[in-house]
Amino acid sequence: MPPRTHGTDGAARPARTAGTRPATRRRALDGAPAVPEQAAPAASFAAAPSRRAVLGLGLAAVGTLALAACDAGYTARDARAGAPQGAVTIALTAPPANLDFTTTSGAAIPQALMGNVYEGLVALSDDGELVPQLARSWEVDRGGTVYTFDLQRGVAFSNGDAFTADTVVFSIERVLSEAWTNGLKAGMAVVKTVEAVDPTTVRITLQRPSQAWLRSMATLIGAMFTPNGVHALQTSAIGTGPFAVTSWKSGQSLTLTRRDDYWGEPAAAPQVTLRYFADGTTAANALRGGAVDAVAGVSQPELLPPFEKDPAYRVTEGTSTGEVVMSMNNKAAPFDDVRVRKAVMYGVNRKGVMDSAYDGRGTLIGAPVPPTAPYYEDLNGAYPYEPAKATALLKEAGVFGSTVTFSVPDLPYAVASAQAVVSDLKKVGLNVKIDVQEFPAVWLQKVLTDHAYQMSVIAHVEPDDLLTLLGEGYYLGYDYSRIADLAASADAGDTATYVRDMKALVRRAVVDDAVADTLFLLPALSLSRATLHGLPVNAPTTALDLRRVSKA
Amino acid sequence: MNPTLRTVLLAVARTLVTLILASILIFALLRLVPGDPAQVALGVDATPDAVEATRHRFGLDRPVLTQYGEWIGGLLSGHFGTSFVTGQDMSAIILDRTNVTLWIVLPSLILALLLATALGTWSALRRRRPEGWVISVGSQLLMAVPGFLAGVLLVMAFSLGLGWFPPSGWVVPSDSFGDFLSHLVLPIVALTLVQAAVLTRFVRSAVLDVSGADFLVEARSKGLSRSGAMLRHGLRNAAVPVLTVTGVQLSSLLVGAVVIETVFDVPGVGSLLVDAVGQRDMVTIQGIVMVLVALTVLINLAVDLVHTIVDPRLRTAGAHA
Repeated sequence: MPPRTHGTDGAARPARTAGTRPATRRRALDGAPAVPEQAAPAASFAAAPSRRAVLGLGLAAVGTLALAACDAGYTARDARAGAPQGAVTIALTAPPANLDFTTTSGAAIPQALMGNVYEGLVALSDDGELVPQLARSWEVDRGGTVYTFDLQRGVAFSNGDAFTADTVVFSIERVLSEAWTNGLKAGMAVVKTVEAVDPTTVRITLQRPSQAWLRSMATLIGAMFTPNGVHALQTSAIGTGPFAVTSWKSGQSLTLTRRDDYWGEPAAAPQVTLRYFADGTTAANALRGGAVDAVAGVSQPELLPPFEKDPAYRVTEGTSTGEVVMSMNNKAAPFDDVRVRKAVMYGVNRKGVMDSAYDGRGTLIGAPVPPTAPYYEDLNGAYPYEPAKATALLKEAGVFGSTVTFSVPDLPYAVASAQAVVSDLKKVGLNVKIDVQEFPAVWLQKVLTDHAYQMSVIAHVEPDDLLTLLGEGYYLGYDYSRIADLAASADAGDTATYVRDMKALVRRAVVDDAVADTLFLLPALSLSRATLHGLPVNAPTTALDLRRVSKA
Repeated sequence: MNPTLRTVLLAVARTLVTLILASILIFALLRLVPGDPAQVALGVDATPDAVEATRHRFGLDRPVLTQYGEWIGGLLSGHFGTSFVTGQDMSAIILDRTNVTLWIVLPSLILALLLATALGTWSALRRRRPEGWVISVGSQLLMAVPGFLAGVLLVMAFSLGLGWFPPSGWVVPSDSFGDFLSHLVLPIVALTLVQAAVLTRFVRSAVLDVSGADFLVEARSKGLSRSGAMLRHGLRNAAVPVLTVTGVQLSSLLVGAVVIETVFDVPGVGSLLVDAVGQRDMVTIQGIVMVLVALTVLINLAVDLVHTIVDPRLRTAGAHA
């Protein structure tokens, strides 16, 4: 306990209060000539003074333990007390473990920080288009390997450091160094050199032309850091964005305060506090009770209907990049046989799964590519729900009536999806046994790392993660050599080639090889007071853009 | 030696041994549970190299004994250590969040005991009348209600329905004591109801057990009324088994608190523990479990000591042993 004079004062008081009641009661009992005591008068006599001492000792111990200081909960206190007029509070349900996405993966950290605190040279607009951010403009040479960025002037980090070409060099070289352990850093591997041509011009040379690289620069690997701001990334975040972190209570709340010295159009709200709830129902109740103005990233769609009927609230449903992928271990029996994988694709009613797992909200996409990706194609027709075909394929492969194990992470949508899948597959002649595993710890170990599974299901939320999913050695077990040529020609070509070859790649992996069954795309659901404006509807990246959020 | 002092010293020694064994057990179990903190930190994009580098950064690649020694050394000097997951020194946070939980657990325990003593005794004395029967059945029903459900129902009725109390959240008492209390009411009520139901059953049967005892007959023969004899002599004897159960209930009370904290969004040690387990944040889990074990052990020690006060037979037994 830190020396908080305030707390020491309070510690004594409740200890005494706690003591009075039982003590009084006991004294009343002592006064009575209790029969058992008369049986042992000597002991009773000897014990009388020390009895009080023991009692006092016990109570003092309990009192000290109670630590009943008047600042109980101070480590979780958010900065809303004394919040400025117009401050907004938004509830979320997945707290980040810390603030450092360079060493910690997952959507929670970039959700809070990207675009709000950290910015990149480029960004993705609400509909998935690349737009300038810290770069005013950029040019690509004819070979497609040399990018020249013209930087915004007068940009400062929240600690006062200037944003210059040197900062860009520092940030990109840091991604390539061992300081970054987040697996997404692979997106930067194609970079050969970064040079500061002059304070506002940066030249980046790639090893080979790459269409994917510039888009990945709009995600967290493109975040700009200042050399003075990376010493304590787990607990502090210093960026060029419209907000600065003014309070971070691990697992509880993150308070972002508008920067008056922001280089662009300032944020609409003077302060936005993100509050993390362990339970969606509690978050929704907090909205009703007035403690929060919105719940973003709602993961329990069953909470929404009562709010949809109430004009005091607004419910929005947009698209996200979270593809719910049902994996079938391509390297393990029986799914090493493409006929069995195809049987599952025909045998699962994806619409029915989405209805039962997500109240029918979401988008059926048929492949692990969200509609915001440039090479998106509606592949729902490739494997329609045809149970008879599924049964025939299972019989042909000789696994009709056999049993497989479905390793399901203990996430509500995953368990609900799995239950629907099990009943569908039973009808076509494949028995599925559900094994629920703790997520993330156990699932990551068994499925992702050890590949010790037959079937599983999880939402992959990173944008443009298709090639990660199909990568060599990834848990899906796909044979990357099947698409290596297409991946290379797509990345190296111009935009039209990229789109054409990526579409061909998706068709080969998903239609020809039935690598995995993409059940549906998670919706981006948010719930807010009708007086709150500017909360983004779509989630084209994992970031939650807060700069336009304001209260009427 | 003074028999009371002897009892106290024995109990203290027992407590210390328990704590040391607990620390070894906690430390070992945490390392046997599947799930690697480095892997959790890196998630679905992890590469084997990055996992190895992260294990090194977390210090998990060092010998287990070194890690244990470092932890115990820190504990002895009052530090729980810096969590590699959150990057923060967890000492202040663990103690503060425990403090929050105790604000809910201790009042609930006291209220539950008071309520259970009154209701249990009454229902035992009136066991052949409708009101005694109603309490008995009611407490049995309430026992079956999970704390989670009790919490949700209370929020629906008294917060969203009547608007008397806020549905969730926590206010630091020194910021606004009134708000602090209003946020405290529903969690305490939820926890108290479920605990009181359990304890009422025990009080009832303990009172029934002593109601036929010789000393009560003797008390009646001195002219005390039935309820008078029960209140002055019976309860004291009935208190022995009830106290024992209370000590045992304490751990279930802490488990109940985890649920209640989730439902009411209270920043207590339970929600901290749940988050830490999810992330396999060893430093935080070890620290919290150690604090909880210490609390349970110490409260049980207090219960033991109170036993020796309530039940003089324990003292004489000690003197002759």
